Amino acid sequence: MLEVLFSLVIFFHASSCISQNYYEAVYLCETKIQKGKMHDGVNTLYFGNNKSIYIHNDWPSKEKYQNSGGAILVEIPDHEGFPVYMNHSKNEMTSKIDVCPGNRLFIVKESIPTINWTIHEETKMIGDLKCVKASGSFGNREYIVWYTESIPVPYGPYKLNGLPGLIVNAHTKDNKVKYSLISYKKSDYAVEHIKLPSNGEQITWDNYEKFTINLLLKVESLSTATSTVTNYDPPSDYAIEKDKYKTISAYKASRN
Amino acid sequence: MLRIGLRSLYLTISCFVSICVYSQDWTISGQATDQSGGYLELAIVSVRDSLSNKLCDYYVCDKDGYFTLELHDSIEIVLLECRFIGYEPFKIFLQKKFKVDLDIVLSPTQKLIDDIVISESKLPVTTKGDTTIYNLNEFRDSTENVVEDILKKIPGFSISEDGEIKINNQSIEKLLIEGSDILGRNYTLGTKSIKSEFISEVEVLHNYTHNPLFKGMKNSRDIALNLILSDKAKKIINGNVLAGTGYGDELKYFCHFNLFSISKNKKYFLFSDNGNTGNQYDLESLQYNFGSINDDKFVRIENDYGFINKRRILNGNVPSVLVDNSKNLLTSFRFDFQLNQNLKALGSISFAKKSDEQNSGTTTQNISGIGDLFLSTQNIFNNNEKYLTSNLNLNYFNNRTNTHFDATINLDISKQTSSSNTIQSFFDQSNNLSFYDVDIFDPKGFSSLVLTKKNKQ
Repeated sequence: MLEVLFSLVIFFHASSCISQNYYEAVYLCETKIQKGKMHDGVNTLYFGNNKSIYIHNDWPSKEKYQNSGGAILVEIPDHEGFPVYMNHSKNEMTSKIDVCPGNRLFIVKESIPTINWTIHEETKMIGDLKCVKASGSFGNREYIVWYTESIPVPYGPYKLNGLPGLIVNAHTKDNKVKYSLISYKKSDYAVEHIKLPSNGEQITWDNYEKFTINLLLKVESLSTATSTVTNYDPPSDYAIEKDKYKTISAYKASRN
Repeated sequence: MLRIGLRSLYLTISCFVSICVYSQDWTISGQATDQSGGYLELAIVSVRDSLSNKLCDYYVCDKDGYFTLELHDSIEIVLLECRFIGYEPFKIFLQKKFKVDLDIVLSPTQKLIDDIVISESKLPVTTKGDTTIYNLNEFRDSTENVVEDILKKIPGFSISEDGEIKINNQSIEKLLIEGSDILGRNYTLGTKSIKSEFISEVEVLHNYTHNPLFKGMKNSRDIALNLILSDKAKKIINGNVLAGTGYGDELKYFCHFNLFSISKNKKYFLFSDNGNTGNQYDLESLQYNFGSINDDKFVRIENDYGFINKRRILNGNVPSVLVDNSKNLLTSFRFDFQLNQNLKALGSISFAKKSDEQNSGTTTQNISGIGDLFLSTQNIFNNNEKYLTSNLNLNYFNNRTNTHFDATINLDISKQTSSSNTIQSFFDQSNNLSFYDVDIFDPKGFSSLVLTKKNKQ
């Protein structure tokens, strides 16, 4: 009886060890978007146990201001590295909203984006990895990616996912966004990083839009007979997901 | 007629059904599990045309390990593969069938891809195990002068005003040069003085541990930086000198130089910083363990050194470069010798001297009770500090016997002298004829003031 129990303990221990392998893939992010400097640099994808988190290692942790054509943009710091967390079992993605009305950082939960990838026949070697070409559209940008079946996980940089292998390289056709895998390894510490983002206020997308419009109305109420005060959406190439933030322009269009 | 009609109808239906069956795409569905029956969520099931090897379809298994693949009718035989990280791939050839149900059981693999480094020459960053290597040539834009300037340009690096380096908000534990801890705790000695062009690469050592016995055990969260010298810096002696002077209200000067020689077994570093421009290394730098190579307790606390009294020179919260006229001299010599395969000697000797003088200006106040007398006071404060520190560390490490021995000898000598001189003079405003001249005295002995009446000439 004891032997059976011992065997069971060993078996469950062994199976739990197998199912709890964690990995980290380090990417280099290079962008030419307005918010790009915050994304640029080393990014790390941690994954295992059907969950993943993508962290921007070089995201500023102190408030910065940048002058953008006369307008002062506030770079909202995030000590968590502006993470993108995915729970594949629940098909949930938790990430942060790029624009910060009222200098507030919002956390929003959505479904994991489904990207309709087209797999091409073209292959090439990147380092020692045999990679396959694929293309797909995400965030109003067309991506060309190279993935490897040698690492059979449907993960990739930022919110790119769903291919039959880890994405090694990805770039947009407009050359505004580029990710390159630097390294990949099994990591015992990865599990410590895979946790829900907490630095920010939880909000639904609908409530975020309501908040943005309320803020717009509050700002517009400061207008006088001689001067107009208003808010605008960020420019088209502000974030990695192009034209994602159109709440204000849509509201103004419907108002007129 | 009816019989012919029925026959025609039968033929038509038969033909229609057979056409439908012929053009029906086929599906393969099933479940992927491990040997214990656990569902393999996110396992990837793909099918390829056995003739062209073209990928026909793939599916990422759901949370219960289920998958469904749809194939075009023109494909006759496919190769189905199921892959999951940590498991042996499963492969099977399947022939066209209206519907295929398949349960897949994967077994663990020993052939895990554990560590991959993509080394493309254009990448400014590469990693090798626990080490991230930054190629500094990719970060240069000719605006950098010293090492600190170029480190600031690397994403994730931040450098505080006092020179403390943080990587992703974590302070570094050590700054090494070619693997040597020759700079000790106050690494700003090097980062603020060594020219950036002497450094070709920066290595970030994760899970760093000073004790070689613990190396590779990954029980440390510390990080260290290792500066790799460029080929041109690996000459016999390198260094730079910076000096300047100017005259405004008073003569200001500075002279800074560093010399170093780095070879495989012998490393020397000589640093000197002198001047009165208010931004020199001074005795306060000693509070950052300036003179000690091996002190592991790096705590930035003020006035913890009993031998250095708190400075009484006041700057009124104005930046010291604007008001500090103290004369500083600081010289430090450090060495790192690999005596043999197992024995290493590190040592340093540092001398610091600081001379402060502050004239607080003249204040005048009426002294009641002694006629119409006024007291004029001028304070001049002088402070001189000298400090000599030296240490020698012997480090023995035998890889074969896993033996590690570390011993350090320290010698500290300090001397401080300070004086506070007050010049006071009384004068009688009513007749403006006489005043009292007061000599210089220690303020504590005010009672020993000697007043000498003089007649105004």
